[in-house]
Amino acid sequence: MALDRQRDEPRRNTCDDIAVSTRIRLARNLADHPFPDRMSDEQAEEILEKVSGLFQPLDAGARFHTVRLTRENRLKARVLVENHLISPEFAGSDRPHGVILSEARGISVMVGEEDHIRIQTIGPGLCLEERMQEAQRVDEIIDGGLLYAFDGDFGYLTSCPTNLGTALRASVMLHLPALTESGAIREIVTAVGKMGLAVRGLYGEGSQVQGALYQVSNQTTLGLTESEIIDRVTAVVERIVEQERALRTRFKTQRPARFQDRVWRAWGLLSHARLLSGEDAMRLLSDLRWGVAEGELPPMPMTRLNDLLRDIQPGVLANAAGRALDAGARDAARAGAVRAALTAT
Amino acid sequence: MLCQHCGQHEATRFYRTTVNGKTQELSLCQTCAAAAGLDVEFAQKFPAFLGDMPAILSDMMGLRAPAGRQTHHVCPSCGINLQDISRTGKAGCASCYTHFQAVLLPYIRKMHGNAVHTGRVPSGQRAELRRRSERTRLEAQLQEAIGAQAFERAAELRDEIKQLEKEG
Repeated sequence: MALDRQRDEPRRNTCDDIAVSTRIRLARNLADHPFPDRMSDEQAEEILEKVSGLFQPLDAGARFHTVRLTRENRLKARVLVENHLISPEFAGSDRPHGVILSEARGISVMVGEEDHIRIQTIGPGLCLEERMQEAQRVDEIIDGGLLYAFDGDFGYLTSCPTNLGTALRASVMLHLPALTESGAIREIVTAVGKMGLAVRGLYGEGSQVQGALYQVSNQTTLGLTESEIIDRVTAVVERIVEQERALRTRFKTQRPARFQDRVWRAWGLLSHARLLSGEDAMRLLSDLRWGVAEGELPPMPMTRLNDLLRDIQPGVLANAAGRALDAGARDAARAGAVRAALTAT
Repeated sequence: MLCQHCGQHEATRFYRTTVNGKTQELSLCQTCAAAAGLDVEFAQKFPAFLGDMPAILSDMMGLRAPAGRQTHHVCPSCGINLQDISRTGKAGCASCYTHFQAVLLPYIRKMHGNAVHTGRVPSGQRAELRRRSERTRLEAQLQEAIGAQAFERAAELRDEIKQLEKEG
């Protein structure tokens, strides 16, 4: 059984060709409990119950539900990671932990991560401000029922001092094939780092760059307001988008045959391949997305391409198949999922 | 000036923390600063120099209790010690930020600069923070009034501050 898909939200910005998705994360801890690393299993259970209880009466449209993650449902946890609804570290945690989800609104509240509570809201394209407002609404639900750990100078008290202050991480996933191809991405990573922001791979901290996908997020959390952080990340993302667009144009005009061959080759392989490894699929989907965004390939909704990035991941494939898949079966299922998406009207 | 810790090498790193109005200063050589975990850049390049940070740092900060008594070394709320904080890079509970402030402050400054929180405030603490900033404002005005020998105004301000304290 596949999880509900995230709602396809209306186009709200002009960066959908390059900005794949937006994510807001707020870290919160309760005042009267030790942080998760020092908690007993009973305390972890108690917090999960308390937080989950706050969301039960609120159903109108959001369909909040709690998923308890145990050793027995590691596949479920993997699917949630591949949906970017929980972090890989959270999925592997051994203490009692769970997540309150509203797939319809792109909301997940992880209880028992590095901090007691991690509120996360995601959405397609570049929509930091809107996702921040949604995260703040969720924050107010919890704030209305439980006492947060807070200090006038240090702000929201977090397990790791790197998150003190607003405890906000605002991140945008960008598809940057031209900057990757030209090697200019290295300068961008350095420049962005100097501005107090970070560039990471697909699944956040420590993860590899796949399919020319990068996450840009703020590093500094203390001393700036939430709006200032959002404005700063937005400004940097817009600047990177501009540079990617300029390079794409240059690539297309200077070497048109090479560009066309590259994106049509991806189209051909993805439309006909019967076996696709994860690595091949990510590389080819990157080229496909590039071709569609530039109007070279037949038009296709960007949301469908975004969904594909998720639907070809191992956990989602196994979940859709309803059984564990070995490498061969997985590559066949992946190729099937891609062909189905490309032929859908 | 020689390093306050090893007393052998020239001190090239200087730290100052102020806790509850009490200022403490440290002058260290590069190696001891790295061992204390204060010189992140250097420590990353030469991890072998990373020693027992809490022992060194808490000695120097006067945090280490006399032999046999380790009360200051452990957070009274959650029981975590400085070694564990240093090893994991994580505090054990909200009170650690108060209890180990002298040790954590240089780290926090290094990460975030000399900054204080300016963002959202939980609903339960909004009134208290408003009172605190109102008090700071009134106290500044009071000093100004005293400086200008406007004693009538100063008396008014003093009453306002007293009133604010009563409300708290």
